[in-house]
Amino acid sequence: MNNNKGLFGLALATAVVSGMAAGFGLETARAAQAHKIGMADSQFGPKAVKAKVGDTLTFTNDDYDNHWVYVPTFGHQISRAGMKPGETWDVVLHKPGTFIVNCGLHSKMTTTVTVER
Amino acid sequence: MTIKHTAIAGALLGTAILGIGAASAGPEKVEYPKNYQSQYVWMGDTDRHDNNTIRRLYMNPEAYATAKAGQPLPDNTVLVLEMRSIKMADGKPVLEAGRFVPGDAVVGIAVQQKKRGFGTEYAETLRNGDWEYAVFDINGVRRNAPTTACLTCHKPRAGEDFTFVAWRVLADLKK
Repeated sequence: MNNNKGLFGLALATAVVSGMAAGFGLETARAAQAHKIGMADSQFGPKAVKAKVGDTLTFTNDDYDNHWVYVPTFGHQISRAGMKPGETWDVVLHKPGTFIVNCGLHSKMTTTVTVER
Repeated sequence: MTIKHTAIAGALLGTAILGIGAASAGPEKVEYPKNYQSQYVWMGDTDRHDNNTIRRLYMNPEAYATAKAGQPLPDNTVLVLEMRSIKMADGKPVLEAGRFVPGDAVVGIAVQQKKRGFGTEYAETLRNGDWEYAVFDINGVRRNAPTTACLTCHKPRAGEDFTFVAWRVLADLKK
């Protein structure tokens, strides 16, 4: 009986601590990450990226040509023309959703980014 | 000798007139769309990180009403691309939730219009289907800027009816 009480107390304490941790966001704590989207042979790579709000997309022109990164998806529209070979562009993700990335100079260059909370 | 000079001068003048005519024939078909800010459909703002401006896109409501996602835009579609300044601080763009903050100034207006019969004066290597382009200042006065750059840049977008953003936005808004 005493053992049972002891186990119950331990379980309760664990539940309280876990609850507090979740309440303070500790349970889901995750450092923001960087996701590279490279450009080579007039293709983006990778073809799909999964990220979370707060993460960063790093567009990197590894190609021999200039590229023009743009997002046409409604509500996510951004653009940077004239990215020369070797240049990078960091974009911090503030909003959940899925958007397409295209190149304004090479119509077949495309990738998709999904951002979750 | 005089006759020869007159002939040369005439030829040069004729060439010049033809040259001016060819350069201005297309864009002059496009009318400035008055009241586009209040009457057209807003298709989103694109933050241009390469030149710190916002490109605000509008579409005429008649075309928007009949446009279908994934299909060529209707005849008489008018797209207005308004270039706006942004708020800056210490030489850097002010960001709110990662987005540029529009300033008060419109710095330029470009219009892309689709109409049956437009574009016939261009070679197929340059022609954008039935689309034509024109550039206006903030008062709606036509600027005689060459639109060859518009045609060249939009040409590879044939698969999305020569648009960069409108095709995708229609797909997003008309799901």
